[in-house]
Amino acid sequence: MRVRAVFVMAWTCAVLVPLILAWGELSSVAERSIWDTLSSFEDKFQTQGAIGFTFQVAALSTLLTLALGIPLAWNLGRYRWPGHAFLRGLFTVPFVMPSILVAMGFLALFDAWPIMRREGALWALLIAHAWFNLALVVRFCEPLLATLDPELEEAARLLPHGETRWQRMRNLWAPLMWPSVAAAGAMTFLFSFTSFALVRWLTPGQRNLEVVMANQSDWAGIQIPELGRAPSEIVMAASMVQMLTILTSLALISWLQSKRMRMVTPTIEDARSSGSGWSALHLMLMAGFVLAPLVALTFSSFQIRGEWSLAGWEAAFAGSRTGIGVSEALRSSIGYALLTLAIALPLGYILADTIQRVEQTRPRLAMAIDLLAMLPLAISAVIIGLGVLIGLLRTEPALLREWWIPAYGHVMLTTPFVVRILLPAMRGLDPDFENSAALLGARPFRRLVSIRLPLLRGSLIVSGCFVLAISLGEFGASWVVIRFTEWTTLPVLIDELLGRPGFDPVPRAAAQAGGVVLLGLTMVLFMAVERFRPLGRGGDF
Amino acid sequence: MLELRGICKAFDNPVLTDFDLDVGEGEIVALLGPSGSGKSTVLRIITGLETADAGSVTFQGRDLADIPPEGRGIGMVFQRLALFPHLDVAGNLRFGLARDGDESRIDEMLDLVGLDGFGGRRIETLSGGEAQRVALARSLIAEPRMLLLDEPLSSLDADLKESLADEVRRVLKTLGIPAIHVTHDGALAARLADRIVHLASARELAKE
Repeated sequence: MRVRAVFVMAWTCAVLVPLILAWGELSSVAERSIWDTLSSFEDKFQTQGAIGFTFQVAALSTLLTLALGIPLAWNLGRYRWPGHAFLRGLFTVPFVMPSILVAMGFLALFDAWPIMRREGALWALLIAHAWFNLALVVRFCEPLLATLDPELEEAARLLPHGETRWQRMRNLWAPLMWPSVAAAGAMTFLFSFTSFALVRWLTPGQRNLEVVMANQSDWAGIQIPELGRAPSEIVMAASMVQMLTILTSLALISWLQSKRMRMVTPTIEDARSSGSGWSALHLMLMAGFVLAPLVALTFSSFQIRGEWSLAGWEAAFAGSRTGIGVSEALRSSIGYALLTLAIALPLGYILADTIQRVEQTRPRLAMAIDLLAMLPLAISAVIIGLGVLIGLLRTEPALLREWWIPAYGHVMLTTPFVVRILLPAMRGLDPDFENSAALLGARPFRRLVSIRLPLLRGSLIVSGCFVLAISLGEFGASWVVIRFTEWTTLPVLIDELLGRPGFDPVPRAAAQAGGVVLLGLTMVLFMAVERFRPLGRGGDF
Repeated sequence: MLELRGICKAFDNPVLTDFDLDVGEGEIVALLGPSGSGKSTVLRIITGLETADAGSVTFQGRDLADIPPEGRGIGMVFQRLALFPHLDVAGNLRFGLARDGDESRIDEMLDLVGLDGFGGRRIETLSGGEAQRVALARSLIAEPRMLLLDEPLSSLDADLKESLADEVRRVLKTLGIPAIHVTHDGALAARLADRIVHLASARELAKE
């Protein structure tokens, strides 16, 4: 137990210390209280309208995601399809796609259909958010739909209050599903609220809080008289608004999750039946929606001003428009991803194991550790990057030259996913397996290696792939922290290429080529993972 | 009252072949047979939850072929009881009450199945026997013209099974509702039903 306590303490320090240091530095440079900075937040030209825009985008994105996601989850959950695991994988892929890649995919799509861009960038952003978060609705709702005892609906159908489809929807499905739907909605709100790359590239004329903070990150926390205290004030106030909103959403999600857990729903192993032609058509349309930006991105990488060309791919690999090429950036990305995996997987395992064991005897403490484990998931990637950057500037500036520093942010961002995937699997383990091993004389280490880890094998593989995919595509924190060209990761390289002046069409195609490489890696990881995810397991990615 | 004629149904293999059954007014019939003999399929065809490949189902002189399950006036107690987990006991019964139904019937029905005062209880707090009675009460409050029981007692222990079988019979006879009870337990079939139909050979066995 002592070892676990040390790990929990280490995690707490790793998450909180950079943030506290960053806040301390920001407030000392700003020389104003947080309330003063908040009250004058909207007065600055860099921040005007940012709060309203952030909330508007998050709320509308949530509504659109639910509108598209609920019918999809229903179709996937209630009906059996050929290649079901492939389809589930396909609809999960968007969530783990690097956000910068999603932005590029939609930009490529708008290049193909300029009418969409003319209709308004906000719509484009909302659709991209819905595309990105679709997997959350599927992950939260589909497992229950796929295993809920069909006798419930049949019983309802034979009773007066469940005779019609509408009555069953209102009186049976809605009350059973609402905690899952609301939890998915709250998560979507959270991710749309902290969206960075999509806002940066799809609505370049608009700024949400995340973009505002990123724009000021170069000067925040640094005392340079000519710049004044505005950058520090802006980051401090924006992060405060973000933190309050995120904590409220997290508390809501936690309450909804416990409500989902409390509702003892009768399930069977597989409740799916054959789908109709209309359902198949709907599924095909949704598959088209998911694939469209990815296909557009792939095609665009082979085109320069409408002509087929390999110039983009050549420039991407030669690194002729940037300091380094795609292969070096990819090597760097894979290196950080493997380092992140080596740290985040055992760390996440120990945190999940601690939560599961503590919740038997001290549920409040378990909930507190769970919340701590979740915290980085809710804090924006940019703020995590800033926390690391400013924290180190204040304590050990020399460490900023260490090559492994970007992995720090990656570990922070991926460990919560490991916990969220492993915890339900651990809760589902029958304790009698380990008890009987103990009675047969197996010591704790032997029980871990011979019983617990093999039983958790599927979930460990899924979480490992999640860690690799998220780390490979991580952009926000890396964008803030990476200070040397040789550390440049693939997403940061893509951003750099996208930012090149528009008169030269090659960098854009080169960025798309880099994106296709990243896309291929993520797709392979995720299609492979679905084999290990059993039906009915979900709600936690 | 209920006539099944020449019912055939196959899934991967034939389950029912040319099956006939008659149930009279107020009669309780037990369908006895081993697992996989098609007992539950018969009930699902009668309710309309499953469609027969061939044959006809006539109820009170009406062919049920084009009538959806919700329009047949036939109630069913499911094998896994299918109590709605998001509703309490009274809520589950209210689901079965007609829209303009008298709410006081909920208490009456709970009283009839020996669960007086259970209205506020959550479903997950009920014992197996209590849950079975709630499922029975929920089906009966909808005033079905016939009740189908799909092995609802199978998960209970022997003593409880017998006492509940007596109680179900008492309630059905009190209300005069005809019923079909599906089971693989011969003793239970004999205890609850007026007549037993052995499904494997479709032979009718007189109740001893």
